[in-house]
Formats: sequence, C-alpha cells, structure tokens
Amino acid sequence: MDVAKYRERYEAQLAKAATSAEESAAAPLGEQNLEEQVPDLLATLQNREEPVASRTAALEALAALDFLGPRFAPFRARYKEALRDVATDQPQELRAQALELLAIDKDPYAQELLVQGLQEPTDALVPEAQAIQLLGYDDHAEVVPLVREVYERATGVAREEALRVLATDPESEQLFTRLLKDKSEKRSIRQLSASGLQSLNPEAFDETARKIVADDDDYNDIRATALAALAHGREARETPVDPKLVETVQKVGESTRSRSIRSAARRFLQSTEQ
Amino acid sequence: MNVEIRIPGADALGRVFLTWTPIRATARLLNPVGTAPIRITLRNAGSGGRVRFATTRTDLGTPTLALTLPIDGTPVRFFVAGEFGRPSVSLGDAIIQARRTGTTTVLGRKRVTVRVRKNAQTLSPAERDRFVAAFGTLNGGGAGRFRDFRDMHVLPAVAEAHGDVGFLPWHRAYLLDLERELQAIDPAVALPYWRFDQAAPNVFTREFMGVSNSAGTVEFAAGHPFNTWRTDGALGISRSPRFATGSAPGGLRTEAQTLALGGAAPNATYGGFANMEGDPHGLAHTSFTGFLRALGTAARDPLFFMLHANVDRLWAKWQWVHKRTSPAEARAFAPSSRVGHRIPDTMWPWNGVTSAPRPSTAPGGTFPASRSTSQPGLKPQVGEMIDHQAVGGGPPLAFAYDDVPFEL
Amino acid sequence: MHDLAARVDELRRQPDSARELVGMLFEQSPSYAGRGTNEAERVRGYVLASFETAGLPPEGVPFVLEELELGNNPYTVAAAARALRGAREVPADAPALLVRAIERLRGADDVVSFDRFTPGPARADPVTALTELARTLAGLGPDARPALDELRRLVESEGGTFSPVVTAELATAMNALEGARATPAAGCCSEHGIGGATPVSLPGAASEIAALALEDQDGSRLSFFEAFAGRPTALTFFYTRCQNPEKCSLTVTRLARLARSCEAQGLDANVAGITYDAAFDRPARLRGYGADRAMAFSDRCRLLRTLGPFDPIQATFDLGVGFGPVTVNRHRLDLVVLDPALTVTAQFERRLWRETAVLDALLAAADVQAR
Repeated sequence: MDVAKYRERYEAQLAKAATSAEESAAAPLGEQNLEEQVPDLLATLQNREEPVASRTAALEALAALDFLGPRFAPFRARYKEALRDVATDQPQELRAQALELLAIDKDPYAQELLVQGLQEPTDALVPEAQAIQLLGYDDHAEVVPLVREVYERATGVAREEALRVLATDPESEQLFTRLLKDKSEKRSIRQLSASGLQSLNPEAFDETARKIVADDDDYNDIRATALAALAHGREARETPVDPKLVETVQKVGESTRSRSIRSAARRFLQSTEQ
Repeated sequence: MNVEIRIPGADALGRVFLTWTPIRATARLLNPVGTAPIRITLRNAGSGGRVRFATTRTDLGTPTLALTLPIDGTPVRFFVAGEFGRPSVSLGDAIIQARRTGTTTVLGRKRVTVRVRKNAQTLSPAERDRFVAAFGTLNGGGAGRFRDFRDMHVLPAVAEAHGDVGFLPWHRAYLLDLERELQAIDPAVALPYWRFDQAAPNVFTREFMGVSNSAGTVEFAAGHPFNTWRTDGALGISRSPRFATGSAPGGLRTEAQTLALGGAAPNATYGGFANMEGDPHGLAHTSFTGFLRALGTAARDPLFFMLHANVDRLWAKWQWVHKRTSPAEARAFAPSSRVGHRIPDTMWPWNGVTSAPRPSTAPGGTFPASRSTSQPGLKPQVGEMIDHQAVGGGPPLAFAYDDVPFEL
Repeated sequence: MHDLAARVDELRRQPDSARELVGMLFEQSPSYAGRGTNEAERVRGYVLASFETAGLPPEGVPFVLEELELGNNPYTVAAAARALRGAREVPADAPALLVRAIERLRGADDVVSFDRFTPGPARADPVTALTELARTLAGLGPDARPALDELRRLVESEGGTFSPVVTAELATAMNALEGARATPAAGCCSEHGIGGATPVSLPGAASEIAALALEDQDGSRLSFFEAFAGRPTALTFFYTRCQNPEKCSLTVTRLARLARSCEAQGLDANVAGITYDAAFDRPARLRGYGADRAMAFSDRCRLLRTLGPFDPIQATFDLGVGFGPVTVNRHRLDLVVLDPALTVTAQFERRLWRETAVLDALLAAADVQAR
C-alpha cells in the first residue's frame, strides 16, 4: 500500500469529519476544569427531579472521570457519598449502577443493603443473581454462609452466581465435586463446578477431570471444559503431568468426533509439551 | 551455490518478526560458482504476509530488489520491512526469496512473520484462538504471570499512570510488557485492539471475549481457556455491555473526533490530545458494568488490554498523522511536574522504585526483553515509548498497528 | 456485630473504660471469630474513635500507630487519627505517621462517621478521613513540628489530589505547626515510614511445634524442626489474598530483601514466611507470590503452609490474627526471630520492622549457638 496515498485518504476522512461535525461542542470529558464539571454532575445525579436518563448519564460521566485518578481524587469522597445516596433510589438502573460501583470498592453500606435484600427479598434493590455477584467482589466478607443458603433455594442464574462465589470457600469442595460428576446437572453448572473445584483443590480436580475426559458417555461440552481447565487452569505449568493422562487425552482427541474436544485436547497436549 | 539471507533479531528457533519499520538485513553468497559477482532479485514468495525491500531506510520500499553479491561472500546490506496492509496471518507465512536475476532459480529463502496488532473484530478464528489460548495460559488459572499485570494496575499505583501526561506512555509500556509475555508463550500472537467507536459483534461472542449472562458475568464456550480465568483469587469475569453488541457503545468520541482533540494540523499538540483520557477512554470503560467500570478492578478483565490497545492505537495514529513521533519535538509531549510523567523519567514498576510517592512494592520486575529489538531496555523511560516505530532512527519497540504505517 | 457496637456505646458512656476498649482491639479476640473483614474493621474503627473521649492509654498506642503506618481503610485510619487526640503524651512517631497516612490515602478519601455504628449515607456535615488526619495534626501543635517539612513537601507535590476542604485543613495544620516552638526532631523514618517495631523478647519455645508438618512452595514436605533448626530464623506470617498491599505484599517483598542481606553479610540464617491461609495458599500460589516479589527460594528461604490447621502456630507465637468464614479477617504484622534451638529470642509485632534490627536479632541468636 502506498503510504502517501493512504495518508491523503485518511487526512481527507479527518477533514470531512471535522466539517460535518455537529462537533461535540461540549468540551471532552475532563478537559475543562473538574472543579466546574464535577459538582454539576454530582448535583444532577442526586437530584430526584431530574429525568432518569440525565441522572444515569451523570453517573456514567463521573465513573469515567474516576479514571483520571489523581485529578478526580479531590472529589472522591463526595462521589462515594453521592453513590450511597442514590443506592436506594427509585430508578432501578440508577441504584444498580451505584451499588455496583460501591460494591467494587467493598463499601460496607452497599454490602449491608445487598445482604438485606437477599435475606428479605421484598427489600431487594437488585435481582438476586446480581446481588450475589456484587457481594462476590469481596472475598473477605461474611457473605459465604449466606450464599450457601441462597444456593440451596436459588434457581437459574442466581444459582450459578452463588456457585461462583463459593469457589473461594474451601468448605464447598464437596459440593463442586458432586455437581461436576452429576451428569443430570445443567451444563453451565457442571462447567462452573469444574472451575470451582479446580480453584479449591487442583489435585482432586485433576482426578475427576481425567475420568470425565475419558468417559465417552459424558457430554462433549463438559469433556472439552475439563480438558481446557487441565490445560490452562493448572496453577503451575511446571507441575509434571501424569503420562497416563497425556495418553488418555491423546486417545480421546484422536477418536472423538467433537470439534471442541479435539481442539481442547490439542491445546492440552501443546501445553504439556511446554 | 546459494544465498544466505540474514535478518537480525531472530529468536532461539531462528524465527524473525517484522513490523512496518525497516530493518537492516544482509544477503551473501555461499558456495559460489564462477568468478563474476552474482546478480540476485529478492522477492516475495509467501501466500500470507508480504515484505518490502530497499537499499536505504525508507518508507518507499519495493516488492522486489535487485542486489549484486560478490563472490567472496561479503554480505550486502539491504533493508526489509513488512508491507503495510499485508501482515501475516500465520507464523512464517511471509517468505523472502532470492532468485538468480533473470531466471527462476531460487538461491535462497527466508521465512519471516509480519506481526502487527490487528482489529479484534476482523481477526481470523485461528488468530483469535491463538490469542485467547496464550492469554489463558498467561492467566494460568490465577497463578500465572498475569498476576503481576493485575497488580500493576491497582489503586495505590494509580498516580503512576493516570490523570497526567504519562497516561499514554505508561499504558503503552504496560501493553508491550503483556504482549511480550504472550509472545513468549506463542510468538504468533499480537495484542488485538477493540475499536470502541465501531460495532464489534465478533468480539462479544462465546468464542472470543464472551457473552454476558443476566447477572453480569461473562460466559464462554465449552473448552474456552477463559473458563478458568481467575483474578484476585476469584473465578470469572464480571462484565456486561451497556450497549447492544451489534453496535458500538454510544456517546464516545469517534476516531476522527479523538484525533481532532489536539488541534488541527500543523499545530496539533499532545496536551490537547491527551484529554482523550476522559472521553473516549474513560467512557469506553464505563460502557460496561463489571470489572472494567472501575480503576481498581479494570485490569482483571482481559478486554481491558484490547480496549487499551485501541487507546494506544489512537495515539499512534495521531502521532503519525500529525508527525509527532519525536520526543525532541515539544508538541509531541507535554511537560509535567510529576515524577514518572516526564521524558527522561523511568517508569514504575519496571524501575523498581518503591520510595514515596511511588507505591511500596513494584511487581513484575524489569521490562521483558525482546529478540527483535533492544528497546526499550529493562527500565523504560517515558521518552522511549514515544517513537515506537523509530521514525527518528534507532531500534523500534517492535510492535505496530495494522492501520498506522511507518512513514518518514 | 451490633452487640459489640452496643458494648462500645456503653463503654463510651463510662469512665475508665479505656482498658476494656483496648482489649477489644486484639485481632485474635473471639469476638471477631467468623466475622468478615469489613465487619471487623468497622468495630475496630468504632473502638478506636472512642479513645478520643475515653483517653488513649499507652497500651492502645501501638494499635493507633499501626493504623496510621499501614492502614488502607479510610474509616479505621480516621478513627486512629481521632484516637490520637485522646493521648496525653504524643508518641514520637505519630506526627510523621499522620503525614504518611495522608499521603497513602490521598487517592481514597471517604466520608467517615463515628457517632453511630451502622454504615450509611452521612447526615449533616460530612467529615472525611483526610480531614480527621489533618485536624489531629493541627491539634498536636508543637509536638507535631518534626513532621512539618514532610507535610510541606507532600502538599507541594500532591496538593492537586486534595479537595478544597482538605486543602484548607492542611493549611491550618501547617500554620499550627509553623507557629509552634521547634522541638528537636525525633529521628525517624526515611524509607516509607519504617521505624516502628521495637523487638520484644519473649521467653518461649517454638520447640512445641517442632514436629508440625509444613509444605513449601515447591511442594516439599518437612517438619518445622527440619525447616528451621540448626541456625537462626526470621519467620513472618502472611497470606496471598491479603487486601492491604502495605501488609503482606510489602512484608514478603521485604522478606526477600532480608534474605538477600543475610546472604550478602554471610549470615547463615533461615528467612521464611508461613501463610495464615493454608487451605487456599497451596504451593503454586506460594511460589508465584514469592517470585512476584523477587524472592529467591532455597533451603534457607521459603514460603510455607501448614498441612493441618494453622492454630498451633498462632498459639505458639501468640500471633495477632483473626479468621472470618473463609479467610483471615484482620491481622497485624508479626515477625519472630528464633535461635538454632527454636527458642524465640525476639518478636517484632504490629509495626513495620527495621531490617537492621532483624539482622541484629539474627546475629544475636546465632551467637547463642556459639556459646
């Protein structure tokens, strides 16, 4: 490609965009003095008279400005307070976003609100699955016993999110093992259980995964998952791999009709070759 | 009689990787026949990537080049570069062939790979899978070297890389560090960029960066390496696009608008351009829920690196179009009073500095070396990240974008 | 937690309650068992803030200084700042540590409130953590003079990160310090606030746990005795999912440096860390964590986990650590020096240990053998 011509074309594109621009007449986010921009955004965010769309736009702008790090630092305390303020507001989207930003920061207030919502579903500010996920941001929280309970009664996505949180809980190892081996379980549950078990006990996982890989009566999906987890999820690529396992994978990879198993097998074998 | 083509920077297996920057190479005769110098023509013989040749360091290389090789085997110098617009699609698919001029006799050949960063939306499935596999291995189920990368982008380290002019060079170094680690796992891999001002439905698939479930967790196809993605001891990636993945996220500056930030040619300045940190960069982050949304957790999501590859590409594009590649040019950068954001400053964490105001630990050690180049060294300086294609001469950083050419 | 909070409320109303309040700060206290980190921090902060009115006794000072030196939670750090106002004598390290805390939290300021326990949006007059720190500094008057230069430097280089309110408070503080009589500077911290822990000599034998089974970062299994006996040992405790980078991450980084210093000095000593989080910190995790922090593993330098529960180790060394439902909820820094016969000869607790002090302790422990 002729670079000079490429430049000509590109410069023409830029020029066209410049002229046709209704041009963000507004200065780019963060360009002007934050001391002017931020208080306005905070005010909009917290103003319950404002339409929801303006409030969520303000929240998004603030969250984007947070990426300016030290430049946004002077406003951080007020920003957190504003988030706490709107965490219980009417518009669902607004409070869900606020709760998420607080939960990422492990904010105790947000955590309490979410826990209350799990214990008392009528108080829930966000759907159950989401609440679990947000609480999962803090693996030092007390939430695991509650999540174990929620897991028992939850269905659908909430159940999966609960499992994901439990992947940091050594006491849930048995649960993951059981679910992984249970062919009647939903595929997504089994896949999660594979990763969860591997998180908690890689040796036990290796054993179970090996059996699954070799089991022609099990679903291709789960076999491929197990293989990929063995290839990539191993904590250290230096740990020597059992040659019998390599053999099994080779055999399976050759004999299978499933593309996902074949490619997972190939990746596994590549990873063991180092 | 044959011709040996030598290109420096080969890895342990003799593989050579090119970008758009011309590299010095040599050709010489081995086992000569006769007494007269031999005339050869260098040409492209591969079916994938292509290269261009020249006798000087130029952006006007040609697809063929005639050279006269002396009988005594003295090497003859030439320059070779990837042909802009024709990167490789697989390892070693660009072949330099030396033919006896005027004949079809092949006297020598050399496989190279023209390896550049491409648009994630248009990666081939094979390229996509290799990238994802390498990244999955780097994460190693939570115990791989990716940990260091995650630890470099935590709240105590924020001031090293955000809210000041060093934002772009620091992240350029960060990405290059990661890319070199990926290449140590699979050298065919280059970091793809996610163009956030365009629709990228191929990126948000179960085979690539995943599809979000209703709780905001990302799901992948069975066997996908990211099923065992772990960060901070926890499993999974939290992310949900706040836009329909068949379109681009709304409200972000387009590429053209971003490039206009520094002002129009010929007076474009870095200070103005660097405002892209808020929009589109910050807004690209907040167009998702989940990890990407907040500074302290953003680097837990592999998509972060593709988002930032686009940020870096926009900078590279701006640098090219406005000819702002020289650290000596005042408008190519902007002054700062903060350590780590000035041209001669080394950057944390690679410089290992842990005294105030730097964070108290410096994860990851020094910058990884590359066989392809000596730059940027073990402790990169801000200024060394500016001219990544070495327009001004010297060794390049050995990465490039598929849509940002090398131009003198 | 609310029962604990209620107890604190009660104690706030009583005179002479400082002692009991201090008792509530021990990490290994049964009150914290099974609690999450946020809950534990909440109680600690609530307790600490009470010292402002209850008076801060000498036994409480290390808890306050620890928080100022290493804390990364604005709530607890602010509480420590308040606690300091209840001290009759200002601890020598306090002014510099207050400035360090301001620097450390400059990007993470948040509104804090100690008049009621339950977290929630502020009511009137929100006060932030940085404000509390600045106010304490200002209130220390002449005693804080040694920190003035550092404060000035901080405001000069990082001033842009402070809100207008905090900037004003810091200006007030600088005025208060400037106007004060100069007192001889307490020689202190050059490297990141490192000053504090003075070694305590505890009579104690680690030999009770000599047979305890350990596993190192390579999966090698050995007993406590096999790992450490025969030469002096510097042993510290950590876990890989520690959320405060100023604690475990920094500790292991410094441990690696300590090991290198030992080698450089020709001192044959063990330098090791044992994880609190045995079930989670399996060998590969230990290895990665150490390698990331430039630890060169050898038979003198290891990261280990117990193969059974951690309790025996906690009991033997009386470590300050509490556990939540899944992992540690809160811990203090702890480093013990053992002689070749596994007797504890020095213990550095709560504050950052000085490398030179640990090296001295190791040398002294080595001499024990020679005698």
